[in-house]
Amino acid sequence: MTDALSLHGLTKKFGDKVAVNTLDLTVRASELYGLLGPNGAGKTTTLRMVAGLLKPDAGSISVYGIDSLADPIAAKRIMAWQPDEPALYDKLTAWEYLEFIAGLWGVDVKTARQRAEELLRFLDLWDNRNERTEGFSRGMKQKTALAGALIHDPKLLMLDEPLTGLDAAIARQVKDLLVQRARAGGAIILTTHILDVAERVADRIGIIQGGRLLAEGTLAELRGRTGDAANTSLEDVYLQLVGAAAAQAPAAASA
Amino acid sequence: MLKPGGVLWLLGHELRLTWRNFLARTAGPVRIGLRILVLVLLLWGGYWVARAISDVNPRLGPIPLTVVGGVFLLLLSFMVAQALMLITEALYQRGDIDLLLASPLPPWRILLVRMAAIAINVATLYLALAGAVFVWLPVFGGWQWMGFAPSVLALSLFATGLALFLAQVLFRLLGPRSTRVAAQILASLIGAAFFLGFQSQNYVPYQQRAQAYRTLLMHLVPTFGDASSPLSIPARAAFGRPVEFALWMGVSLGVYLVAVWWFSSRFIANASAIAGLGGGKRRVDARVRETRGGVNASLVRKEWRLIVRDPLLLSQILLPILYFIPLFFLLGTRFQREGLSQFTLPGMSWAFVVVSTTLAASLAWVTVSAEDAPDLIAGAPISRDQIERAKAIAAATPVIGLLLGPAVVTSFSDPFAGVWLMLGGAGAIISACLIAIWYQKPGTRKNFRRRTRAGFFVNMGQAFVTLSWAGATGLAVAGWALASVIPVLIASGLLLAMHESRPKPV
Repeated sequence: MTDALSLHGLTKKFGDKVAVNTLDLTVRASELYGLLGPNGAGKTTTLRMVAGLLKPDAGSISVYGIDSLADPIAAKRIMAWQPDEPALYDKLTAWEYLEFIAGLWGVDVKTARQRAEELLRFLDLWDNRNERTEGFSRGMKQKTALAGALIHDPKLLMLDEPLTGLDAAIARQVKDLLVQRARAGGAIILTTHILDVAERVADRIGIIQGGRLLAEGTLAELRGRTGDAANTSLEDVYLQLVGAAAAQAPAAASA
Repeated sequence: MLKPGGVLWLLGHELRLTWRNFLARTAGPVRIGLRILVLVLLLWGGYWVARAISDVNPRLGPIPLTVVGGVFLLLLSFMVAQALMLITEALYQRGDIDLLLASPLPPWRILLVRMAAIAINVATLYLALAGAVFVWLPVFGGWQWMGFAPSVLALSLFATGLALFLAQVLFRLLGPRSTRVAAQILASLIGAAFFLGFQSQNYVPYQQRAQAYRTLLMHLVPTFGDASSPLSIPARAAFGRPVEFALWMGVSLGVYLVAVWWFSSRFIANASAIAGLGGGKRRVDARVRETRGGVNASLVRKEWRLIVRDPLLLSQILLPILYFIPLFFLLGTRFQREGLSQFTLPGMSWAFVVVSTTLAASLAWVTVSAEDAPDLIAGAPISRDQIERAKAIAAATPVIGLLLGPAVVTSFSDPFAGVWLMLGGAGAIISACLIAIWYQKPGTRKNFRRRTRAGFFVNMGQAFVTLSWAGATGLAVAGWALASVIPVLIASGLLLAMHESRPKPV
């Protein structure tokens, strides 16, 4: 299977604090990868580096074989990043927002219109397409931002906490859309605190703590690592792995 | 009152926040140095004023009462404008008010304190100016003037009360969405009127001015100068009359408290209405229509749409033009007298270049520094240069378009003058955009009035570059095209120096 995203030895420091520590991670095409970890584990920093918003101190980032540090524009062209807070313009309508994003990514007008319509219809925003986003609810804003991330049909989609603050119906729509895209060949990496979501939709899961990858694999593989039974939830596996790592950290520090 | 949750405790919290914000704005050796310089100059000026007035024992005749009453009236209009602006900000940019309202404290208490902080804020400038005099008065024995400081403080309470009533009326008449824009435009207009009123007297011949003052005084004396008129109470209080002093304090405090009580009963409803703006009324704009694609077109179109659809921002960008009215008035009267003389046409060209560059610099700050979604733009597959170029185009083209009007009109009297105006104006506008790009500092459109400036030296550099271009335009229009090369070289040299010393992008 082709590697959609490949990180090697990725490191980022903020002063003395190491946010991401020689991280190695791979996301394959047609895969929905769930990146989990406690607050401050380095998930968002990792995604921001891949998106080209932060410069790593060390390591490499490859997006579908493109060295994103050497040729960021080519890498950005085939990926999309959606932060946890939707980055919208209050005074633009949903349609104008999509039109703007399509323009930034150089999507031709005809294709952009067609894709915008498809996305807005799928996300139940078609009737609101001419309304300014300042009047939108949190869920509508989130969906508009997601539509913006998808308007140029990215091969790699990175989503930071995409389901936070969404009601059950909207969250279901978004999950369906993500699964549909992964099945159609797209690669998706998402961070989430809702372990249930990762358990249900992610093909593989990576658990990160202190900027390092603690464990990676399918849910069955993670269960195998912790020696848990087949019906153990991801929450139990996650807490066991994170708890064990947290217990080891002070011990290592005092040794 | 001092215990946690009490009025004084809350007031202490407010003042601590204000003080820390002030300290944050004062950070840096240059700013601290400038503030110390201002303080020294104020105290120095205050020393001489206090020395001069300490031996004066004012008679409470009609003229002193009218002058003080008139000054108080002017101050009141200015204070109401400022308080109105602060009140709408407190309502719309609520910050911690949601947190406070969610606490078990009565809303009126929270509001009482927040509005008291506004009153203190409003009074601070005048008290600082007056304070520089008051600290010296005891030294020279000028006790008879000491009533002015508390009277001004009372005036600020009175003004805050009036502003609260005004805000409530606007809220009722216009609704939550328009109140903010209307209040802030109104406040800016009052401020501008104050400035223009002072400036206008410089353009009226002395005889006419003196006659106008006499007429004004004749009209005001029966109202403010009559000791039996209630409107003379603030002036008599300021002159230290004990009964009037107590009365003025009581009236101001009363107006303030009633306004707070009246406003607080509606505050929750108003705040909820404003909070509901996000998910409430839906604004429908352009219908889906065919548009041209492309990175530049998308960025420019986005910037224009965001500016045009934000009336508050637009008004804040355009209002500074009001301050150029006296200049155009002066040139206009000269034009009437002398026609397009050798002075008038170059003067007007100079002024047009300065005005358009001021506009362009504001627009460039909005497009370059106040990007609402910087990460979104940074994540797009386009270079930083391309983004900045498009944003500069978005800021420069409308202003160059506006400049075309005066240039065409100028061309009717002298075809070359129109060309020089366009060339000089374009040079100045493009320079302003370049400086905005080189010295960009992230900010938000909501804080346009308090936008983070790039620093004293950059502002000075910007001013000199603009004045050089304006000077070059004026010289060329006057027929000294060769001489205009000198200011153009100065502007270019400054630009080069600013380019070389710009902070390197991270």
